[in-house]
Amino acid sequence: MKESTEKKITRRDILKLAGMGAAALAATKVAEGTAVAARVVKGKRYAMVIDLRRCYGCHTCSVACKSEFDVPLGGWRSWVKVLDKGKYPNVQRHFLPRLCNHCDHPACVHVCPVKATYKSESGAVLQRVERCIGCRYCMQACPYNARYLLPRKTAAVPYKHIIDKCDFCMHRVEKGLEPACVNACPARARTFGDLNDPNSEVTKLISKNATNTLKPEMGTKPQVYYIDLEEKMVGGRVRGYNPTAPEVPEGFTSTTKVRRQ
Amino acid sequence: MEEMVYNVFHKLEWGPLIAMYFYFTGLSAGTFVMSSMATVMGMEKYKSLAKYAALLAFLLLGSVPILLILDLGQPLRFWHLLVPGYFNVTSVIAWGTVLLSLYPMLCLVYAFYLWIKPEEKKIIKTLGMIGVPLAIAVHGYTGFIFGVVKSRAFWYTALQPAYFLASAFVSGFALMMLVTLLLNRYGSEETKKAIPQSLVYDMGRILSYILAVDFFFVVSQVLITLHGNVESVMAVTFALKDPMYVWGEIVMGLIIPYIILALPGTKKNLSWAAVAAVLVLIGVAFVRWSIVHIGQSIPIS
Repeated sequence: MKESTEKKITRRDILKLAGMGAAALAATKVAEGTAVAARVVKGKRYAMVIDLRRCYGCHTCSVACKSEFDVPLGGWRSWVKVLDKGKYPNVQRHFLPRLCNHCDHPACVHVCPVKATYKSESGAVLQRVERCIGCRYCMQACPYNARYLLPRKTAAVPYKHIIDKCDFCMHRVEKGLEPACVNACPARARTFGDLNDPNSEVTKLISKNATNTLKPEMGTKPQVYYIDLEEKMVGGRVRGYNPTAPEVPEGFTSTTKVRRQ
Repeated sequence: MEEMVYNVFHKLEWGPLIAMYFYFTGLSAGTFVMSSMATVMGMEKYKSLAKYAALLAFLLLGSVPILLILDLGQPLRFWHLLVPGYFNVTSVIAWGTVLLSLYPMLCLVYAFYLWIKPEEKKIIKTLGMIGVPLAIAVHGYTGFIFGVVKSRAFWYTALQPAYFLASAFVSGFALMMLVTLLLNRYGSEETKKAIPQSLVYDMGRILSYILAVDFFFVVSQVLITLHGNVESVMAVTFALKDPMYVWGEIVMGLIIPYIILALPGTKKNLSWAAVAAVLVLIGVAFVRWSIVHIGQSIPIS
């Protein structure tokens, strides 16, 4: 009789295999978590100063941001809002570069049910993309409309239908580079730096110029400071103006068309 | 003359699924409270209705979590809401997840006792007493979801939880009125005896009181928000121009049913009571849809 060299698979073996698999999965999650944590530069108070006297609405910052993160159509991490004022020949055109303000009291962080968005130790408000469930409560809560729902996976974020927003280009900042929009601006309207550092450009600009933030009455303490902010640029439609006027002129795509790609 | 030349899109992120969720939780809370009128508040005449109300409360709430999960961008990650380490104390939705886990279980046990063991009056009363604040919390928290969002002028009002609860009771009672009518018309002999037609008129009377309170909340909000800042005025003007809000929610959902239930000619008429109940149910659906979509329609940036 042939001796069976085949070992019978016991319950213990299956449990061992399952345990190893679970441990491996947990290890990858932990590794992912520590990798994210290591990306954040600690002990800083990152902020941005945007000098509106210099901005001339070229949208290079919007395009640089779009290409840096493969931002899909319909969503914006950073954009430039444009307003025409007056009647010919007394006309003005105002530009307001916008992005997530990385507030000190962020409304989005307060309402996220799973703490997927958080105020990091570098001062930036960041997103845990593997945790976001896509409930969009943060999108409702943000007073600045800085967030958008990803309609597809991007080169930067491997999940779709979760919330995405500007993250101050942490992947560049931790390597000592500037954010893409700051780097790209031909007029050097945007400045980025650490408010804790008394010699940084942003600290100097804020201490030497009259700066404004957007919607200070919201109590969110935004960390993007504007020099020479025209009050009418802030808020929905135009503050103080006819609320029934169209918000975006004809010709811009309807949002529903670009949402699901 | 100002004109916005270029701006980013403002999308309506929360849509009909969310509005349906609020509608069903409201109905569930309303029917549960109606059921507790018999078991907790001791109104004996509603005793036979209590078990139907409890069953409805459970069924209505049972359909709710799937609506929410389907609405998520990543539905398969919904279990993140249940991880204790992820729980955010300041997030109303996180609290809601806790409530939506506890309340259906209590509802099920309560309905079980009412149907299978109705003689255990003390247990039923205790369950009812825990259930009423829980039902109020399950629907009140949805009011808080909107009420704490300071960026949306239409939502940011202290009245929100109270208004939501008023709408919830109104819809729950209207539903129970219709259920009573059906049971009385098509039920067995003993059901017909246990659930007389007079219950419809009693519930109609209570409904008219709550409708008056609901209307008072609507008027308060509209008038006070009209005195607010620019975004608030924009929000209310937008709402008052919306036919679903004015004709659907206010006229059809509040004013006409109140008139039907208050006028001496129609308040004792069964068909008119049914009409009022149906109008209320449709009106409250408009309430839920209005608040979800008007709040998001005012652009904030």
